[in-house]
Amino acid sequence: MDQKSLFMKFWDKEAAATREVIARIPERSDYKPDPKSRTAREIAWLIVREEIVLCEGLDCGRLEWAEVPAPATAKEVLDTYDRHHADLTNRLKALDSASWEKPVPFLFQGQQVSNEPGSDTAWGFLLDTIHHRGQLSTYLRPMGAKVPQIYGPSADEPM
Amino acid sequence: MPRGGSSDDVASTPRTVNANIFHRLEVVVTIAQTLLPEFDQEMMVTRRLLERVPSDKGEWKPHPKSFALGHLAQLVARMPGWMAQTLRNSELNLKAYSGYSFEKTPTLLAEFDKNVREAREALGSTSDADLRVPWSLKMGDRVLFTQPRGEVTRTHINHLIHHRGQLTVYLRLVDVPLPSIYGPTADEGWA
Repeated sequence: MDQKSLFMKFWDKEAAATREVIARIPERSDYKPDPKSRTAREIAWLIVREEIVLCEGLDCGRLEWAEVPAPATAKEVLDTYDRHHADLTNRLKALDSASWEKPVPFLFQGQQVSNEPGSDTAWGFLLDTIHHRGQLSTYLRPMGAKVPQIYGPSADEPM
Repeated sequence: MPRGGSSDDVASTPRTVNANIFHRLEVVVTIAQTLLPEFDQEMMVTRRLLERVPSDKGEWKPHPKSFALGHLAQLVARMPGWMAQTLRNSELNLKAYSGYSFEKTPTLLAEFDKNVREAREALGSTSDADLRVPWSLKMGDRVLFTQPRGEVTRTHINHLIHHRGQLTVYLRLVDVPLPSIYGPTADEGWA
């Protein structure tokens, strides 16, 4: 298995858990654990936006982060994820090895903040979404939802 | 905001480095060694977070069903050790895995440092062929899964990042300012 195929294997595996966590955010919940924290909906939206920015950016050779306000409901966040995920995954899969390895500029607030190979950028975004999904998983029980299995059983869903 | 990471593959193509224009130095860099920059960055950030775990709040938890703060921190401190275990063995039996305890933060940091050192040594000395060796997670006689060591090792990194993300929420809830992980937090700017 080559480097990109291995990444795609993890992309698919992590995506299944990510969708499951996002899908469990109760509707009408604006829960956040602390006044300084993001709401559950905002974290979920960040994850969705990261997928879009990564895949579209690698496809066109330039990533640019743009702040897009979160939709008003958790359902709209999940619908956006579902509407885009398969197409974004196909765009990643279709990248040739040159696009996967060549440096890709990443712009944040109009400034270039990195110019890493596409492969490193992809792993970086994936790890960031795992980090935020981990945060989101701690919100679920206080919101009245159950924690799904992610890397193994949870207290709500044992082995 | 995400940062660039490095990656892992299971191909065995030799990787070479041009030392200078006159001498082409051929250095075989293993796949496991290509993970080291990412590993070092993630462990540095993880330690920065673990250092802030308050020793006197180990039993705190955000929900009755949740892991206690002290146990979550201990899990994060242990997880780099899983990488060395995977790279140097062909199975782990959960029946033999010790439970959790409440330890002071310096004790957790000492365990974390030892585990990081061992994982780093293992990554540095594992050949590409060794990475393809199947590794199994067992519960007694039952095999839960079998995968190549390379994939299991990558999963351990992702898994650690997941629990470290949880730990950031716990720490905020016990009034600990959060350091930068992949970017600025509400408490602190870029590290």
